Amino acid sequence: MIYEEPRFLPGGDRYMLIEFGDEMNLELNFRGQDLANVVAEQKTKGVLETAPCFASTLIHYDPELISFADLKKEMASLIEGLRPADDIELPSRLFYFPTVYLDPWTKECVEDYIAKIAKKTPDPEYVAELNGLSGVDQLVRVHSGTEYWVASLGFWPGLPFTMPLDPRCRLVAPKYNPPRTWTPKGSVGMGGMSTAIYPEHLPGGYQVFGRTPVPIWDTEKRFPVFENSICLFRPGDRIRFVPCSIEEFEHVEAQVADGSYQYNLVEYQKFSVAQYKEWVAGIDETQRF
Amino acid sequence: MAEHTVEAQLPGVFYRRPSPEAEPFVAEGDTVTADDTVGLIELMKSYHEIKAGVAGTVKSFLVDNEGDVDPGQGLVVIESN
Amino acid sequence: MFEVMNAGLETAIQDYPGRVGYWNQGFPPSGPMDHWSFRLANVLVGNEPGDAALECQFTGPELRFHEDTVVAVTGGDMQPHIDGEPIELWRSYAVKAGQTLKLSYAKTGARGYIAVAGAIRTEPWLGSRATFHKAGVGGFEGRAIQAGQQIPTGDASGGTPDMVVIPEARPELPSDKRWEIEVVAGPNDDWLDEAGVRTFLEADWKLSAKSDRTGYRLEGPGDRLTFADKAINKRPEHGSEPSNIIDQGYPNGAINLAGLTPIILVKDGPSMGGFINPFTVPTSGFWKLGQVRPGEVIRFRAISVDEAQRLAREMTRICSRESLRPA
Repeated sequence: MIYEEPRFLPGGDRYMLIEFGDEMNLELNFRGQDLANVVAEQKTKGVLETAPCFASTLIHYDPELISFADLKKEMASLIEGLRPADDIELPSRLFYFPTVYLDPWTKECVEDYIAKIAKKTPDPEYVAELNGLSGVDQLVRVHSGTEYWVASLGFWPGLPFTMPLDPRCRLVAPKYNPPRTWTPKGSVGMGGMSTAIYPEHLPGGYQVFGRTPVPIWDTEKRFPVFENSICLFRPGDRIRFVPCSIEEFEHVEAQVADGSYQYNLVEYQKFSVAQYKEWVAGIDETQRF
Repeated sequence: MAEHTVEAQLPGVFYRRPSPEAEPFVAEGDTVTADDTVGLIELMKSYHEIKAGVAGTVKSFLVDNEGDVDPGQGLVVIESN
Repeated sequence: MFEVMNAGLETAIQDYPGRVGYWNQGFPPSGPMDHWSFRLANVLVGNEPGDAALECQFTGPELRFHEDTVVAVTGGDMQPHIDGEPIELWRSYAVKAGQTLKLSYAKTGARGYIAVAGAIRTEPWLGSRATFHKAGVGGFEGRAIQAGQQIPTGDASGGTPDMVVIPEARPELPSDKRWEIEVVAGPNDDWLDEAGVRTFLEADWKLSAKSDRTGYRLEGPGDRLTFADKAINKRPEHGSEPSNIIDQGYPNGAINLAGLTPIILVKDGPSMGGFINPFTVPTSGFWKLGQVRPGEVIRFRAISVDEAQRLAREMTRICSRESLRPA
């Protein structure tokens, strides 16, 4: 559901969460991103920073410069003026990520969790079963069968929150209860309908079932793709996971270590929301790969 | 012979074993050197080793395994050589 | 400049309010956990309240000064000594080149703060000197300080020795291991039902040893929390557990319900994720998180946004020269 009026929710004395709706779709993500962009361009008084995500934008404000009530009024008026999503056309980079699905590293991590923290069905089997797939092989086929839209960055520097663009590849999964204390660097996993790549060895709540050797943030800027930012992605990028073998993983890992790795991305494409919606309308969403 | 009490310098959770399945680092009656580990204190998601500090014989433990401890609290009594 | 002789458990350079402006890329603010004690340490030596200084956690460092300067130690009592002589907390002291300042373990509280006149002058990173130790950014070479390092400081000539913080302006630590910490309802308080909110606010929550500057795990009746209908009957993309929500921005200080375990997201915490945040610890209650120890008990007290903002303003007033007098 997309709310008729956004909801303005307090977070302590310095934050406001603006919720635009209650589902995961591109339109809501554009609302969140567009509001953040407009706030940055206009330098709205009292706003220190924003964090847009799938269906919301978090505002960090200075209450000495603007009250909660005035911020709410100001944001409501900016939201009123946002462009309709159908008009949006933007350049969108596409990244290819070699990924070992059903890899030994996330398997070990899940087994460690099961042994020490809580019993559960191993993640790939669990996600396959929950989504009515025939097994883990189909999970790999479906998960790698679509481009993923980078909706925002967060949790850890550079971590992308993404959603599948092809409706036939939509999968859902609950988040861990309780969360894991560690996840291998480069793990690929999902929670809710979102897929993420873990930039580092980190705690986590997503179901994990793959691993990529390609770094997605780099404080030392060892590769040219990090020239403008130490975080690889920006909202509006797309990702494709390319299933690969452990041997290929190790080959790429060695190239990353010696600095010879070439990031695999293309930059000539534009993403049109209207064309995307037209394409989705013609697809039978119940079909799987 | 003198009694030496090993005191916690950190707050946290005291462990007598390196992992739940493992044997305790030391038991009552064991002889230890000053550099032997007698337990761990968990703090800030890390485990910090507690050394005996003196050579001697472990007399008694003042805190249960997985008990909460505070700085200055006695953990283990060692009868020094 | 001073030299680190011994680093302590995890001592790091912080400034206040830290690295603000990069939440949308996932960079946390970092900065001091107890901003009240931190700011007063700076004010005591003649610095601006937010200047870069040291945060010492549980066990403090030993430092040797290479020039005459002024220092002050505040926060939890880490039994500070200058050249072997005990010194008082909440007071600034002139030190000579070659003298050492040594802190021990925290007899009270959890974190001590050391400010040096002229402030620490490492290279700022994304606009701040605050250390995000786990990610290896900011501070000195990205990490907590290490023995042998030489830490640059600014001009100490404006240092103000022999000042004390008046007793009324010092934060008070409880003597019975029980803390009352203010919270503001939201952003996701309506995902709990009334009984769930009551359970949360009336429970004793024990701080787990599995807590650090990224998150504070609370042990208590998490599995007795009850949820509103919107947490149960919802679209699948939220994730099926009641505390699962479509990934969203997290306020720093939010109390995140990860599965059924509350985790307070503190200074190096995550900026986003897919669990609900029913309550948020505001600025005025946050300093207490810097001094509560594992094993101690927290009760939360709900206050309004207006009240939280008023208390934060009051605290900023206290963290100024108004609170000093000559020793």
